Amino acid sequence: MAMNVHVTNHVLSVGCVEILGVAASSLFQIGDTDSMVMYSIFDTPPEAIIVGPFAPLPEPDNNTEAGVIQNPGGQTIVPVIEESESLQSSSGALTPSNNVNRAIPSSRGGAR
Amino acid sequence: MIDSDASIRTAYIGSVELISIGLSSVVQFGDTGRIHSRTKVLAVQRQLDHRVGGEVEFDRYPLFYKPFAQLKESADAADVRTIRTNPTPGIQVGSVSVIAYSSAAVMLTGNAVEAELETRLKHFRQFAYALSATSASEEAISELIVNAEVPGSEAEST
Repeated sequence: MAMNVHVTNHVLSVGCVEILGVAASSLFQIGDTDSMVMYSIFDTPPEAIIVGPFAPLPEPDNNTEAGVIQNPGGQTIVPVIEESESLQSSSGALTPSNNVNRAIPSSRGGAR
Repeated sequence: MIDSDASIRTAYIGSVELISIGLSSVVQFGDTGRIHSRTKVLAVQRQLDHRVGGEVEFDRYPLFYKPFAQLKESADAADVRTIRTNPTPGIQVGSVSVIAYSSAAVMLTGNAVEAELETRLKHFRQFAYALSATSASEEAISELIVNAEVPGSEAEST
């Protein structure tokens, strides 16, 4: 049994429109559209606030999924965000030289 | 399905003032068939020189490639018929003023058939030390991190 929706567009008259910003795949339209589908996903869970020893965010590597980084000592530093696992942080003291030696990606510095 | 009477509404706009249209945004005066706009954002805020911290890759995070939930019923299967009549075949707008369009935003003064808009954003905030830290040694360590030397960065840059 079909559902019938009757739409009658009478007068549409707008004086002035002022907008600060239209961002991130948004649509500001003056006119008609038959169909609109909109998706949005935003991830900043509490686990995304990381305090403590810096580790490089993961490089592309098809074997491991992003979110868990282990330093050479085997300590997990960055939590897995999607799976809501518990936050684990390395307990060792931070030495800046670790970051400098490990963190430079090859030929990826600078703008792409 | 949508049944319209013969009159399509035309937009009449007095004036348009735009300051900034950037990062693959579109401003269109006229009609269009299909709009498909996608944005992927990795917002990384670290208390660390980014040349030392390294780069981040989108495809490492499932957020950027996992499919969105689809409606269980397609539009046709829902069997909804929209009958649309436009006795006043015009949309009037006096003035439009927009400061900025960014990240694949679209301004369309006109009609469209189908629009699909998608945003995926992941935000990291990473501090060198906890905000409640009081020990001087932790601050000294974070100072070292923040001012870390980037060895041979000039030679390495491509």
